[in-house]
Amino acid sequence: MKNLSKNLQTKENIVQMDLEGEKKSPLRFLLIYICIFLLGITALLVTITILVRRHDKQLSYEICNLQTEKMNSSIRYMTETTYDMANLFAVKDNISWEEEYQELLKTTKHSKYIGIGLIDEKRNIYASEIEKEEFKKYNLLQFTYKSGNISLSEPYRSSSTGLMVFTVFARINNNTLEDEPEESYRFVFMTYPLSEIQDMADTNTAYQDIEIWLVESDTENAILCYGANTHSIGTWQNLRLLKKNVKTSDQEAYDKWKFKIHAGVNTASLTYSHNGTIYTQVFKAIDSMNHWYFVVKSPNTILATTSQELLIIVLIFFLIFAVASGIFVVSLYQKERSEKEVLRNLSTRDPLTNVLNRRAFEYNINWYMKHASKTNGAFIFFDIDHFKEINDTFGHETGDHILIEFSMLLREIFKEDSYLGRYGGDEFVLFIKDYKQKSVLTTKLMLLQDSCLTIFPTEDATNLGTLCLSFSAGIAQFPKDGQTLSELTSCADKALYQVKKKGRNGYLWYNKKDQ
Amino acid sequence: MGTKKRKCKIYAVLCFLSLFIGLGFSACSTSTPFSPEKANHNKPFLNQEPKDFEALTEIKEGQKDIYLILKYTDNEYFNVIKDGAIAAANTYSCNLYYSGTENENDCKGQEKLINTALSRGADGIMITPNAADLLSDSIASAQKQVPVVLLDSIINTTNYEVCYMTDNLKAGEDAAREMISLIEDMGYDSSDKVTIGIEIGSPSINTISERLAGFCNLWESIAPPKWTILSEVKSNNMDHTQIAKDIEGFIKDYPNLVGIFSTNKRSTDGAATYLLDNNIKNIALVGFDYCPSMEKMITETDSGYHASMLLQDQYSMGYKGVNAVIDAISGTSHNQKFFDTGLVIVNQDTLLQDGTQQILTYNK
Repeated sequence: MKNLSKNLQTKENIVQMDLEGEKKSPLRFLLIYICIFLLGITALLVTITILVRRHDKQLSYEICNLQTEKMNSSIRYMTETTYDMANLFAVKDNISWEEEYQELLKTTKHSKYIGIGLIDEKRNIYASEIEKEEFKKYNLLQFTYKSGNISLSEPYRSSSTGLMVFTVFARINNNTLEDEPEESYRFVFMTYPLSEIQDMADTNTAYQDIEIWLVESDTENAILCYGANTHSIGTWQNLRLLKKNVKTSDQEAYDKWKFKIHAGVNTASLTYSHNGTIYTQVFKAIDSMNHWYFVVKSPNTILATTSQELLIIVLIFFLIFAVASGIFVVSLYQKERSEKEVLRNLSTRDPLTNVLNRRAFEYNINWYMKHASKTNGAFIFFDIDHFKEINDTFGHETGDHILIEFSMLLREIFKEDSYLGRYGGDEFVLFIKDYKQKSVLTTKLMLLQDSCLTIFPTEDATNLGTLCLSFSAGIAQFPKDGQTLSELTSCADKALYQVKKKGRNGYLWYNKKDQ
Repeated sequence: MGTKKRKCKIYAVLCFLSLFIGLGFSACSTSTPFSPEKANHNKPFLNQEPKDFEALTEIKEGQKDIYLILKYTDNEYFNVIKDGAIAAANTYSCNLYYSGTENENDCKGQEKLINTALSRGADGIMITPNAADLLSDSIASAQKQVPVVLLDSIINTTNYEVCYMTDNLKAGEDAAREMISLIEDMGYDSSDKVTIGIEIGSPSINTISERLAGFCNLWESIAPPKWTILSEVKSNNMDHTQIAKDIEGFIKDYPNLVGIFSTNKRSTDGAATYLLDNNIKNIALVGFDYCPSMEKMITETDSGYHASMLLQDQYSMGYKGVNAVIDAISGTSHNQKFFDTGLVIVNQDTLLQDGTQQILTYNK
């Protein structure tokens, strides 16, 4: 005796007959998730970078501003020192210039300046021979003719030290004369090395990467006061040459910034790119040096250097997060899918036999008929013979068992692409997709008949003689006999009726002529 | 099935596109970290092996050994320094050795030569430093052992004995004065709108930058307001082909161009050659250092060319340098560090003067 039930109850043999049109690919969701995630992280990184850049620019601007203030203060200190020196002479009458000069040399030994001297009302210079030569060579007296009590020379190379220096002139005011004529002005002068400006400004505490230049607005000449390489101090340049370091797309902005220097604007900033690094450059007018400006240049990398590490960490974090959440999402999806499967099964399957319930069967057939093109189908209506008697004789449990066995036989024999459903009670419906030959179907029906004989109500052999399971079946062809489910059902039902009328245990193809 | 496959492909493409866009944005948006080496516009060091020192005078026992290190070993300009040094070495009876680098940017080569000279027991070193900043430490270190005299170029510290060179700031001013004079000779006056172009060898050489600064300084002070210097300064990196292109570019792009100032020998030679080859006589040329093409422009009187050549006194640099080393070795200190060896202006007015002829002789 064969009992097919256990063999057919394995998960692999259960036909997974989902509702048509509901097959979904998990890959699609994952791809959409990845796209959204990547776009999101791009937006985040770009935003962070923009904010960092903005902050860096502002920070560099503030640093430049601070440095120019410090440098201005440094110059102010030098000019005030010279001015105070000049005031000492203002109270003196009948100055013996040579003696005063010698006295100056003795009493004012200072590490900050490299030269000190006097100019009397007749334009005689009291200084070392070397300094007198420099006055002649560089026409330094021209710088004393500027208005105000304080004036500064342009930078020049000192013969004493070989370094670039500048001289501060302070007028010795004659308090006894109200309107002192210009030709009788007297001066104290002090010469400082250029490097002293940055020493006094204490820029050593500043970021080592900044550069500070003295720039003359008319000539665009620039001289380095401070830089990463201390041996570069005193190097000359010109804004025309420095423009070559600016990225082409930033050169227009550079020209506009330069124009502001020419126009006498007090301060302005510029941001430009050179060799992949972004710089901020600020100029500020020097109070006591007409047409001269401090230009402070700083790379905008103070935050960017740190933020790059941060960005890498953020990126790694987000990648790990993406992978973890991807795994989580996929596992959630799979869990949800299996739960959905269970629910689907509950809503589409007959709980006893696990075949499609009527609703699901009708849905699938209608879907198939709508989308199938040029294929034939066969609709079979099965009815288990004398099922009520079997139920009454052997009990409902036996009846259920028989229904299960019968449905499994149907699945086993008609396992080609087909829909199997329980129509109700002891009625089953089968729709075979793309049915080709009648003879093949007939053979299967005959096999089904033979197989039914192997179904026993119980395992108790003593009941063998009282039960021979059979069925009646009516077959309608699609689209020949009907193009809708109801038409096919009606036709198959009519054929089934014919079989029952003839004594059951048989099957009949619907024939219109017979009706 | 086909539709589903197509959809999968579309999703896959979208995914990869997002990935690339994301990576692209991330890569482009970050600024390169600052690097002083990258920011330094000097050319990278060239590791060329300098030639070994060779004796320029008869080597005698008991005489002081002086080592001369030049920027270029075989160069007309620096050969004149060598000549001056040889003359002084013979006068003061000292042994003179000489070597140099093949490239003006080769600071490592000069450092090596300084160390070699010291290791061979030099009593004094003379050097034309390739860089004002990068050689400061080497020279300072050498100065602690033997007197070091600088020629032609200076460093930005005080750690050397003395320096003999042209005051390039003043020299630039002299060049500007010459240019104004030539333009006036050409018939222009203050009401004419004219422009001057500047051709330089390299923006990273301090000598050139100082000359440019001096030129611009004097120009702004005394040139008529309508006589302007072009905002674009052309740099040829010592390439002859580039110089010709630059001059051609100046002439083509600026119709008001009446003068060219070239800051160094190669630029001057290139500019003069171009003007001669193309018979261009309506542009004045003021340039540094001797070259036959410039001499031709000046000496061919009535040729119609307007040119001025500014010659340095490198013979004096070499001669006085040896003298300074000898003084320093004997303990004589100098109260001055920087000596301007001056400039000789060669134009049609000064050509026949004794001083001009002598300096031309040295340079030829």
